[in-house]
Amino acid sequence: MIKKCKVLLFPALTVLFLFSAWFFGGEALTIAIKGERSEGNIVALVRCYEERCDLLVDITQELTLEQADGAVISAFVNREGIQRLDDYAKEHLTALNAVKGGKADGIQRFLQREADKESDERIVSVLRTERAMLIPGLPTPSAAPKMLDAPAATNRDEVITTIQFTYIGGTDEEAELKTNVRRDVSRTLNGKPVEHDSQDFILHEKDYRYSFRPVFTYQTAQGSAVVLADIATRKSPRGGHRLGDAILAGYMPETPEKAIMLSDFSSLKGRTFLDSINEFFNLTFGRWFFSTVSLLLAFVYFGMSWITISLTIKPPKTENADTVDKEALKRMS
Amino acid sequence: MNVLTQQKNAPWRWVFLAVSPWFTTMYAEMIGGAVLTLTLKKFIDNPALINGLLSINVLFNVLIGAICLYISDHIWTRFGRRKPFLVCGWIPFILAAIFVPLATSMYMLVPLIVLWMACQDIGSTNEPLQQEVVPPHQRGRAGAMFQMIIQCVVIFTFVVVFGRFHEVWYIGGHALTGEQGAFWLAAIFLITTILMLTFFVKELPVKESKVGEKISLIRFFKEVFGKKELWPVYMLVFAQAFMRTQVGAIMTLLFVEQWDYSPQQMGTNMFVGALLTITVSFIVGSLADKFSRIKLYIFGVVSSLVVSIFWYCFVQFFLPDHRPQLWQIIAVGQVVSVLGLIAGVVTQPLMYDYIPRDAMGTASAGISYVRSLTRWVTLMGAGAWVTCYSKYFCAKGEYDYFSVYIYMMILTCVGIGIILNFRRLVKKGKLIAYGRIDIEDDTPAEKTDSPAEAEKTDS
Repeated sequence: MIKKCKVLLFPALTVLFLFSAWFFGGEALTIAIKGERSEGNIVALVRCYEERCDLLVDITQELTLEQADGAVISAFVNREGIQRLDDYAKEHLTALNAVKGGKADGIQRFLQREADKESDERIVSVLRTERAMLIPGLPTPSAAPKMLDAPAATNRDEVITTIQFTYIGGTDEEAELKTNVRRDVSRTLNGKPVEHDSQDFILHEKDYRYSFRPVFTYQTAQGSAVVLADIATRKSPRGGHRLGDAILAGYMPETPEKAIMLSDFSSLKGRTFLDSINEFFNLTFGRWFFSTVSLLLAFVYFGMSWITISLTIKPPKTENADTVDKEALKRMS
Repeated sequence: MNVLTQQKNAPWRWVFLAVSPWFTTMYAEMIGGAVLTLTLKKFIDNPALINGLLSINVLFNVLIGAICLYISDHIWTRFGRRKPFLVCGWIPFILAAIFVPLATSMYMLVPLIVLWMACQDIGSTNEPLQQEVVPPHQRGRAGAMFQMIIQCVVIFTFVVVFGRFHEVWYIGGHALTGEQGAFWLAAIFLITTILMLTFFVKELPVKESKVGEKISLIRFFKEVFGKKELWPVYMLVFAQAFMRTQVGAIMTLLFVEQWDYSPQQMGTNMFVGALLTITVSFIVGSLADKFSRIKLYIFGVVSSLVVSIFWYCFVQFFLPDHRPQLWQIIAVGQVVSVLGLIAGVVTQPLMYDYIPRDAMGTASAGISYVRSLTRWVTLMGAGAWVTCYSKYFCAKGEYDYFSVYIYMMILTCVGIGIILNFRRLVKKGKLIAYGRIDIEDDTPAEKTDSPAEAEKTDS
């Protein structure tokens, strides 16, 4: 009996992990192979902190960049990108792009790089005001698509985060604050000031208990569908999973509400070598992590099964080395 | 069909089964480093505390691991002498691995981590068990298998697992995080390894065992640290541990928290680095025997120090935002890795040159103690350094993890000083290369009047 159990151990594990690979990725695999594909985009993010979830439906930004010569560049950013640009601002698109997304640390580093330039057009301060519209207190995350369908009836919170970054390198203030970029952070909820630990914008939390889960929309033959994604990211949304980002949706025509966000490998084009390796791993394992790992385990245990079965069928001849205590061995047997 | 210990020849299928638990132990070791750092970071900000907690592992290596190994030599049970430690140690280890990602506060997490580290070391009898299955003449190829397993673990851990730390998947209405995946995979590996060892590996009693001998830790320590001829070797080990300071959690925090790279980018860095190291190590290995060991060693560590100084100045004074690009990190990392490899390749032979051949076992135990304790102290020091440095030079609440490079450079300078002093003593004839003399000449080491010749023969 024990011998049979031993022989069956690794084959059983192989089957178990094959089953587990199917459990974790079977449905997505069926959609990826047999289903329809459609382009869509992310329309909202479910932002959860422990048990509480809010639905982040819109983010706009106002950017004001000040140059060393006193000139000011300003722009308005919504989910479609940078808007309302005058001719002068168009010349400084690179700078605007560098500060429009990303976390506060990134803007600080941008200002430090700018300070290294000798031109009078270098940026010396950035003011980013970010307005986020939230539907507070979702009963469950799965209620998010329905909440989006009836926006007028729902109560909305407005969270405004304003951060003023000023380069203070070479001043007395630098020695006092021990940094060359001063940050003045303020956050309000419906006009009232609130304290927040992260000292950053709403999509960039310090705490791992925050998670951001996309809600996406896509077109089917019957019309558009809104679906809550089955993947999320902690601390801040992953690149390509932010409000307004384009996605590739996969779905079965009979169940459009069960659509999934597929990995779009065409996004690897035009990236640098390291960046494309990185994104390739992100796209592959970001979607198929548990199923890939289960398959790998099944493969390894299949190899182990082969070895253990072969040892049973054709046991090797053994010869004890001189180190073995033959007397003790006799007693043991 | 059991895999047996103490055989004259072991079929390669046995060797593979015997070596395979290394995948589990190495994976657990890596998860206990990089991934556990981020798990701790959820509740603890202070790098000194994070590094202090993670360095318990090193302390337990000597407090628990070495003692379990010593005791396992002196006992015999119906299940063998190594396996009971593995099974007893790994069952609570599995529980720790399951519950660590579920901890909701620091007070839940810290005891679990202590349990994790302690049980990991109880299971350190895995290595002698493997060596008992693989006969000496097959250990070279088993070592190659082990190296292959290490590379597989590095790639699997950093490319597949570590990069998923921040991600969440919703399966059947339940959320599963990448962090849980990483730790629960360790639990799965441990369970299957225990099953494999229990069902398929059988230990045979050893003729010249130490069963029944009195277990005396005082005698053990007297033997290890009482021999004066081993003190220079311990000094060498002490210097080596200083020069190759490991900073534990600080590197992960520097990469992910300060430089703002994602865990996946850190994984890619490790992956590309591992591929390049494999290629370069063959070239370095073939060159190593052609030069003087001590000179090659000094060249390796001094040039590593020069590169570190260059890297520090480049990031701190040349890059205005103090954040290097990924390719720059990989490039410099590779140069340091090659130089470290040069020093690493000659480390063991250089050390064993100064150990009398009849004291190899005792010296190994002593080396392990000195190395682990120095590593523990330097690890704790790294965290404390970053905390103090940041307190004086950074804005409130911020940490400059990159400052750990200054700490590493200071320790390397101290280590180089010790090595140069060691070399001076060798040249003066105050230190004798017992290991070499025994092999090269049958004359007793004490009668050799020109120990410096041993140094000369290096060249």
